Amino acid sequence: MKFESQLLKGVAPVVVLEILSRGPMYGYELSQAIEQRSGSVLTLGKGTLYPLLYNLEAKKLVKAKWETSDSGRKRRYYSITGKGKEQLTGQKQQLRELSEGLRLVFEWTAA
Amino acid sequence: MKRQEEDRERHDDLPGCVAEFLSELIRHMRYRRRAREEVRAELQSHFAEELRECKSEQERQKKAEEVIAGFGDIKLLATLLRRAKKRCRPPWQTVVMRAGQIAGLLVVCFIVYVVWFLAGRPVVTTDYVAQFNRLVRPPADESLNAAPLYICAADMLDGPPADIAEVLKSEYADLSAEQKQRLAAWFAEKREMLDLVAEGAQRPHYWRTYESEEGMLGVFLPHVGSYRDLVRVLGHRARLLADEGQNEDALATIQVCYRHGRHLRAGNKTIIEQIVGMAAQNTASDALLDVLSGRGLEPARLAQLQEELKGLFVDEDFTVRVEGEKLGIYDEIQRCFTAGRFGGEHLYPPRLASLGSTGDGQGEVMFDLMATPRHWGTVARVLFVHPDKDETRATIDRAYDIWAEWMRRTPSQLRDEAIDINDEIERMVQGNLLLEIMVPALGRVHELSYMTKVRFDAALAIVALLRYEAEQGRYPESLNELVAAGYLEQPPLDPWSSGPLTYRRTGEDFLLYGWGENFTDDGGRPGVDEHGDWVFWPVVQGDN
Repeated sequence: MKFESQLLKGVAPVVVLEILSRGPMYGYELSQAIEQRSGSVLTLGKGTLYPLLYNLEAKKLVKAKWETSDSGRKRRYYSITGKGKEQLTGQKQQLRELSEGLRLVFEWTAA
Repeated sequence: MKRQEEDRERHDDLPGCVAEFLSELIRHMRYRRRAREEVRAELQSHFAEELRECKSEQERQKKAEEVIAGFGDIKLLATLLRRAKKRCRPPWQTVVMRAGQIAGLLVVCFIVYVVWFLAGRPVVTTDYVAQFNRLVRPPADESLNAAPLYICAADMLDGPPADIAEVLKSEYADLSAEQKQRLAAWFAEKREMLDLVAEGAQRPHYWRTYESEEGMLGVFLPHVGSYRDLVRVLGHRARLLADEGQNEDALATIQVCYRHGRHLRAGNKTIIEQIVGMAAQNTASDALLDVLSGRGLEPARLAQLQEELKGLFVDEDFTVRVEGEKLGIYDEIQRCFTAGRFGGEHLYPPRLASLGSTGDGQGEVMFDLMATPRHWGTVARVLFVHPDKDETRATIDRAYDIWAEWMRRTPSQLRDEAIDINDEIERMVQGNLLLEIMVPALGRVHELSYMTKVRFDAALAIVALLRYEAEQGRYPESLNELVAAGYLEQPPLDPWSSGPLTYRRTGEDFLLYGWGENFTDDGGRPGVDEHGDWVFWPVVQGDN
């Protein structure tokens, strides 16, 4: 299932921060991880991913570093910062509460 | 072409469509080269990862096109990337960028402002010469106007022989007997001219009708020079007549001189005219003292003379009026400031420059000034902070209003109030380039006015003292005694002290003096200080 892009846009930073909280990744790897770990429910377009990463970098929520892989390929690795972790914690809590609120509304509607 | 080849080399292991996509994206980003290269490298790496598993060239091409499609609209992507990269910029770079942008904006604003400034031109809307003519003309018939006779006399005086011109410039007391003879002969030749002046002096009014294409600037000065020469003629003639024992003719000439001076001072004429009028009256007072020092007048003639002098100045207030002068400055304000339209109301440098030298167009004058570093301060003042037309007019109104107040106070009273007119006026007009040029030395005008008054008052008192002595056989002990005996209405005021002129009997004679501009009683010894006592009696020949 593909989400509306506007709906996804709000949660995309949280998703990216959550995945990066498990370890540094480069852009392609990150897009793959999002798709795999969300069971292909969340697909972040490439045109959204890179601007999003640069915005998170500007806000000092992630930091980037060029590294050369064993195959000799140069990649730009992103890792979450302390500030990013703090923000992630807060936003995750908000999303949980949002999810709970939505659940209650949907269950009431169904009843 | 070269650039495209370079791009292809960078993307040598990627399909052509990717190279084109990246090149176009980077071009659309329109941002710093370093940031764009970083984005290019990262996306190149991304494409390389995406295409890693592709076996054939065809498969690579197809996959590449899918990935490109996944990036969406290329222009939108470029915009998003540019904005995001801008946010990544370190604060110091933002500050430098903003400072550069502000500086650029200021330069553009400055250029626009200078264009606006240079576009302004003055527009003459008011005929101040006509206003001035209305102001100076009393409600009287032309037959009562002394001006035509004075003008005619001045024309006849124009260009006296060189030896006479030299004699007229010298003090009468310094003339040799031969020079006096030559002068007497010349006066005889110029009888008609002298009669014209005498006839003019009998008329009740004096006004001129001015015409000038240059505005009031052409009205200020042109004719007063010839009047100044006429005054010298009258002064020398009065003394010459007294020398020849013709006291009545001498006194008549002195009265002509007084009246001529009064004509120039009366009404709302320019300050220069009024100063020449004061010079005429001072010449008359000095000549009168010279005549009186000969002691050839009978008591009855002295009494008559006293009445004639009092009648001559019955309404004289000796103040200097500035209404005419103000019109002159208003006129120059309308010519020195641009009109209130595009590029309006600011100083117009070419006109200002022409007041002291010649100026061409507004741009040329400004650029000439700008080319000289020592004038940059002036240029900045003119461009940005110089008072505008309304402020300039308000300043001159304020300056002349306050000066009219000060005019009613004697130098001694001003000193007690710690007012220095020149300093105060200078402070008021400071920073206004036009007014700094145009406003006359009003402090000096104030002094001249009181000098004229005290000279006349002293002469009148001396006539009374001589009459007292002739009738009583001695001089009074004090000026109060003179007043108490009915010879004088009130003691003459000394403007440089807080009381009357200082009077003392000295044996068979008397001493009458003012304290002078040092405000100190030096005992009636004039040589003590350059600005010291001003001795009216005894008359020292050649000292006046």
